Amino acid sequence: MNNELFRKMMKSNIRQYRLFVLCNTVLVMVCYFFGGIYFNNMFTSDRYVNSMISSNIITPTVVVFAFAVFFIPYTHFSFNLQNERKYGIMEATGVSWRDLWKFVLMENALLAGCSLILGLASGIMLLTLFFKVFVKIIGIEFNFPAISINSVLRPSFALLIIYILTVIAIVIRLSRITVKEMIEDSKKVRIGKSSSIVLLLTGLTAICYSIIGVFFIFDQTNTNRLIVYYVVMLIGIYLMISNSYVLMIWLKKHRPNMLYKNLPVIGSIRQNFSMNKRIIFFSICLISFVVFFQTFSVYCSKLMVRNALNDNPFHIAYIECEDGEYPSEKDLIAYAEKAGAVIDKNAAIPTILDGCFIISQNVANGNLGTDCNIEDGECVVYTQYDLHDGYPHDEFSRDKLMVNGSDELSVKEVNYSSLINNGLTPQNIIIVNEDEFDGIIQRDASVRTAVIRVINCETVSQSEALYHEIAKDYDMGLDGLFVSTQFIDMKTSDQSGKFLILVSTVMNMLLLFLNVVMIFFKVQSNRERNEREYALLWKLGINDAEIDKTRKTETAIVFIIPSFVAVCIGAIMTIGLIKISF
Amino acid sequence: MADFRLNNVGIVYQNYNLIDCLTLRENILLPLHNKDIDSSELDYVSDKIAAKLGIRDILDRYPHEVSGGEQQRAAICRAVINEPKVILADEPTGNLDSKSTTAVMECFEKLNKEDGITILMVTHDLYTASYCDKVMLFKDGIITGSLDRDGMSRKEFYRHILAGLELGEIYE
Repeated sequence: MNNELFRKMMKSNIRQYRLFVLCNTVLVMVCYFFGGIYFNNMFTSDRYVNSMISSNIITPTVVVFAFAVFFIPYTHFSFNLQNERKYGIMEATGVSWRDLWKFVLMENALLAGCSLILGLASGIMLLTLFFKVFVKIIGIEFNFPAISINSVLRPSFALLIIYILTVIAIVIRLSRITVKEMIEDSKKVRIGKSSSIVLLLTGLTAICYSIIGVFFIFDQTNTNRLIVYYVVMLIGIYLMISNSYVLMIWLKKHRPNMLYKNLPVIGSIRQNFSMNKRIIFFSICLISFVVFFQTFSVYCSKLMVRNALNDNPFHIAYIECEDGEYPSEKDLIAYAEKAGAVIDKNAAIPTILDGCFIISQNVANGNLGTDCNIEDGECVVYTQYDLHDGYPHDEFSRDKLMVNGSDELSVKEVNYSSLINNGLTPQNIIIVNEDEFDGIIQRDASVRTAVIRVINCETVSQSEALYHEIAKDYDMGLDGLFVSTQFIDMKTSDQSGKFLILVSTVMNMLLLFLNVVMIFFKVQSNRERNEREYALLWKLGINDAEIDKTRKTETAIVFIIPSFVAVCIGAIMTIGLIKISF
Repeated sequence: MADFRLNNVGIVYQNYNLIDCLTLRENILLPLHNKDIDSSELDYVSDKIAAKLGIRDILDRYPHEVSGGEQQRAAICRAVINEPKVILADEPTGNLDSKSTTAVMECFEKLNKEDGITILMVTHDLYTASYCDKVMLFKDGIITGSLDRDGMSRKEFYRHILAGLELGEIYE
């Protein structure tokens, strides 16, 4: 008898099941996709994939799994809340709690199982598609299997734990509520009961503080502050949403005519805002994050390419150590002819290696484009970082420097730009005059010296051809320790940027899709109440056009305005980020 | 049709049909929302009607915060706010206890006597029917009889209807 009842109940829920399984499958699929990449040991190994590219997967993976921790219980609880009344009636009409418990457990486990299996299958397909097609479109070559045991087992383990805990929580909840609570409509409207003008103004202040902070205070010296401003702004938004009923009180006091003339609309908005404030707030958080992260990833990809260009003024630069073998000037000309390249600049820069690089003034002025006029006991510092590269770092704040075997040198000038390719040099390059340079070598016989070779051809592609020609005979190495090339850095940066855009787009599309699903769930659960109220308005003599207007205004205010607010928040944060980089 | 309902007829339902998201005052003023009346005038009108039906003190509460009888009285206020000629009441006391029923029927009586509003009411309850001036009895959609109060007190009219039903005169 009970089995027949449960079978019929499941049959009547088919439509809900479809939606439930669809959104959970999409989430699980994307979890497997990101987990599959993140837990693939080869992908995260520097031997196979440049860390600049692979590191881009960390944030989206964390965000997606954090979202899964929230979303999976949300869908299960929403689903069960919609059916709770039926459960209550079944229990009231004689179905034992044990049977009901079994049914709920089975139903939720079945749905979770379907989502996991379908999500796993589609996730593996997406992962394969990603490694076989997408990354090749970007131009990255991966020579390892797309799927490993770890990349399937670890996400499965994480998801299973989330599902098991969710199902347990649902069963515990069901066991705690009474039949009466299940049956009665407990969703009574509690409008504006805890609204406070102080909290509303606090929220407004927090928002203003964040906007001012982002535009006028925030700078590159502490980029973490942007997150603080973002969080403060969201707290402000939450306070404003939670206490928005104060605005209704104000409206009633100061614009009563407006309130009375728009009673159906205002009443409806008031109720929907009150009932949906959590989901409205969540949507604002999610959409603003999506906007921020998407623009951030596009911006970062451009920044990476720009930085690669700025950080590498020479097409090819390598260090000729004392004990190594390197092509001579003559060889280089021969290689250039062979590669069809015309060398524009070819210079050997004698350097003292001492934690930093020390270069003489004449060599720097002649070959590196500086214009230094340094006295004895002085130095000019070139730090690796450009203050406008979008990354946090400290300013160079020392007045004096101690270099090997010398007295303290006073710092005459600090330049935040790249003198020689960043990949090759340590953080600081110090230029001293000729006497000081010779003095350092003479004073300390053990000091290490080397020659830095910098080469620029007429075009980057010519330099690339020359590099490959040299690499046929010499082990130039590609690890960036002894060789730095502008074209490889730019290529890596370009690939890394595109990869970041690709993964963030996948993640953002998922978040937006699931946000829409959540709103759909909410609209579905509110629909009956809303329709009842529209029908009532009609019965009271309010015409169809006015009801239609109410419906549209309500949708606009409850869902479109928050989306607009979210886009604005995302945009403000992005502007803040871009501002510090130019 | 909607305009006709809005301007000429007041309707009272068995389940009150108040809008949850509006206060009692706002519910009462709903039929007047598109009329060009100043808010102070609206407040005055709603206060006046609510005072007549004994719910003036709870006008700023939401429906779920008041009793069924008070909700029904608010629904009656809403039905009469636009001064209709007729109020249609569908089992207005069907969900109420005897105390609330008396309160609601006294409200109807007052509106009828003082404001001259005709009230057309459907009920299964003899006690409620005994407040009326004329009772028409239906069985399966067919009128089976009618009774006039003709100056009888409410108690006398109640006994009269009861006697008629017991004797089977009306339903035969």
